[in-house]
Amino acid sequence: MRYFKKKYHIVVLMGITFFLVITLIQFLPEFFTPQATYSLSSKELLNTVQSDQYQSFNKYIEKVIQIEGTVKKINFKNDTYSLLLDGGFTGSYVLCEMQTGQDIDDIVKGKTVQIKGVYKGYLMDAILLNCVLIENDEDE
Amino acid sequence: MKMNKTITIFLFIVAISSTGRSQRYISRQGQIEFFSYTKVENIKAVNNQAQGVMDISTQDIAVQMLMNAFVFEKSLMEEHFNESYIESELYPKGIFEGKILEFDPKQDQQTRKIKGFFELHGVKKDIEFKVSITNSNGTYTLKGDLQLSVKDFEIKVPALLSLNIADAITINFNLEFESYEN
Repeated sequence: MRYFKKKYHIVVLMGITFFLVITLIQFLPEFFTPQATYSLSSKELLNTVQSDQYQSFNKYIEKVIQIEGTVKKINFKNDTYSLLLDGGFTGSYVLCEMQTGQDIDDIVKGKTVQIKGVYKGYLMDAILLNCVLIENDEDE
Repeated sequence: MKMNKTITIFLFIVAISSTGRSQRYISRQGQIEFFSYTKVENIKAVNNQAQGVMDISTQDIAVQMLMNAFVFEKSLMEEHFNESYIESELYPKGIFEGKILEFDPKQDQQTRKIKGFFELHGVKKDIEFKVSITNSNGTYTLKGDLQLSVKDFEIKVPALLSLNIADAITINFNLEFESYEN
């Protein structure tokens, strides 16, 4: 009888833990997104990659970085959203391809956004993939 | 270092171009897909961030792509591609430079030959291929396909995987060029 009670408590404990984990997963998606290695503005990023010091930023290739910038353009192509962030350079932007499922409804040209994504390198634009929007009221 | 200069020069040209309608057209989210078909395995990858510049008066065209921006179905394949085959850390870009032969900017639809070189994995190869060009509302869409050989770019495939990678890789491209306006 005692043995049965102990087993019962363990099962209940596992059930509660499972329930808590599922709740966490549902209500705190940010909790499971990788932490950004480095955080900077789109202006700083474009300044660096366009200067002689461009190689200094190569250490962030394939790393998650966080960028703050103003939306210059929103593109929807091949069922995917991409945001072009202004960095004060004509013809050179930060191009962020967004993950599917990101809520782009509130994003408009001129809005300042915080984006986290994998930095791939630089051509005409600085390119980030797998991007997510960071909510302004969350602590990062 | 030279690659950075090339792009800087292009950007400079683009930035100072201001008289009337620009002759320069820009593509920011060009699509490049490649396929390797073998009996053992079919491999497909896509890059949606090919970027290029096209000058409709000189017929010059230049397109670059970050090799690590090719997305594969299997992440392990993506890892092999970047670390073993392309060695993306050493050779981060695929670069095409060439000319669109007998290009007529005024035609709505035309098929032309593009002649130039493609540089990959540190190797430059002269190539020539057909392109279908559509002109719609001031946007030029360039589409086509070509085949390239893995061996031509000194890409080393381990003997164990030689049956998994095709000798000839099929490449599809689809790039939209828009007029560069300040």
